[in-house]
Amino acid sequence: MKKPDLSVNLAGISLRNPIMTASGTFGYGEEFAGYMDLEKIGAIVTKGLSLRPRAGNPMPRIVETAGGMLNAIGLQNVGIDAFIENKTPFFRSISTPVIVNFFGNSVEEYAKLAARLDAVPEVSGVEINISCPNVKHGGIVFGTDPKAAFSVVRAVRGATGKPVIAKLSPNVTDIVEMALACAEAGADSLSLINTITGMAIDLQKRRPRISNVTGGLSGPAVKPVALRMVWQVYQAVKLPIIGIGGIVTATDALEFMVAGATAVQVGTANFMTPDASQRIAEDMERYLKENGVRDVKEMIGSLRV
Amino acid sequence: MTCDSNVKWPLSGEVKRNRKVTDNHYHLVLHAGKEYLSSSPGQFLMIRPGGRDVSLLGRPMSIYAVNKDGDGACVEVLYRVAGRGTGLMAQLKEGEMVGVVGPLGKGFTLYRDKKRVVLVAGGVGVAPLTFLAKAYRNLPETGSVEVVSYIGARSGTCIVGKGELGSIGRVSVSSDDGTCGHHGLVTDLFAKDLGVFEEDETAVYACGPSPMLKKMQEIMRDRSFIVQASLEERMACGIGACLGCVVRVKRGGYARVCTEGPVFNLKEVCFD
Repeated sequence: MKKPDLSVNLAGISLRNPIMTASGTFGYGEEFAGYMDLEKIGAIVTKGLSLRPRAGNPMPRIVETAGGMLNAIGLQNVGIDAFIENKTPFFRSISTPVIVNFFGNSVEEYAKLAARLDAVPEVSGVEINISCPNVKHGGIVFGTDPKAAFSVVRAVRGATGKPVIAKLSPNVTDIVEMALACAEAGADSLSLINTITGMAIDLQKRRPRISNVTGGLSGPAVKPVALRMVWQVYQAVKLPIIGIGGIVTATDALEFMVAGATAVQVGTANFMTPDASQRIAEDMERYLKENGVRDVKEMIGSLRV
Repeated sequence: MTCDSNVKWPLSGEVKRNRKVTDNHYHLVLHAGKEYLSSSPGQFLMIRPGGRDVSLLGRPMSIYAVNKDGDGACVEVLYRVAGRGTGLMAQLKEGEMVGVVGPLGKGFTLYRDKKRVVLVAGGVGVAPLTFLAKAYRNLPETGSVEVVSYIGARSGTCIVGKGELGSIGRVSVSSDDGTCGHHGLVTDLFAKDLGVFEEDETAVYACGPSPMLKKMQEIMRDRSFIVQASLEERMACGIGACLGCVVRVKRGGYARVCTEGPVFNLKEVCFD
């Protein structure tokens, strides 16, 4: 059989295959260059970026839990100036599209960042992290309030001509309501899910295992929740979806596509084995070949219910 | 059917030996790629037992020894069974494959002009310091460098690496419960001898848990010795991406233990 077609179009960004890396698990891409071939994956999503550098949370920041891990890194990042100066030259050495994840503490900050990134030719698209507190409005998280999410996405949409992906938080009652708000505000694509808020306790010390007390749960433990949310959003929204949550194998990735995802992001698995994303892309191709699937796009939303 | 390959990982090593050496310490010997032959003392590996389908992060382990082995390298680590990851490691059998990423991080600096090298080890902290002691011995121009070691453990039955360091130089031992050597902390044992070492002729190296390194920092505060310390920290990726293993540094902000370390100038680190 001929080589299957793994390419997908994600809101105008051509991906050679549906495998992307999840923000915060892949640094700025260069960290993984020695362990895998960055040309073998669909896209890189970089560590969440803010206007100014952020030091992040005190230690301990991570803890392994059943089927995954909790993290509260505290959005440590180099800030946009250092990003543009020091990180973008590397992007010119690879042909894989780079999507920049970013966040702010006000609608204005989001718009300002989007405008700065719009002028960076090495950036193929932006992913908005809306799981951040709105400092100006009592710290309520943008991603848990459809109106706040709408205003952030609308402001970003107005500030950039690049494809805009809204990354949804699962810590809501109704994910579809959030997805609809982001779609209406002009997002080109939705990625889901971000981490699920969780906790871990050291019984002997009766202390939380991470300094922030609560953190974001990721890894295989969250996959069923993520699959469910992707399926729900797929039925309600026309935009291309990026499935995220505990993807470790090509089987996991294809399950997300069957549920409705056009592409997927590999996250925690990058920590477990630094070549995870490349391996998943290769295993996906093998699966399609062995199962007579000519085009990976046939998998999208093919769930039989 | 599923589509996941069962090909061996490219980032893998084969278990050659995995032996219990004290009540709770093991000595693991792996056959891995020739890239490990360039390892320097203080560098580490991420070891991940269990295969791809097991949800487990790698465990950072300082390199204890590296030797040529056929077309690759024989890499050794010492570890203490402390939780799920090291528990799975303890069950590894000869011939099994494990995930290995390395050699990682920045190792110790060797000072060729020093007359004496002092090593202060807590628990398995002895592993990278043994590698370092051998590296000093193998420097042709430092044949006369004196290596003095202090090894501490919770109990006499947990003392590891004494024989090997003893073949290189003088070794003093302490145990928290008094069952072997000095009854108390290894840092106290070291502090008692401090007066005999010339500050400009001696390089001091330490590796152990944070409370021990914090104590070392206090002891050395008003001294001009060079003190390098290898920090122990939990990690997710080991390659600088997750930002989960940072340490606060005096110049401000955080440094990644995996990438800017694990070896730091002890005076630059903040223990809070």
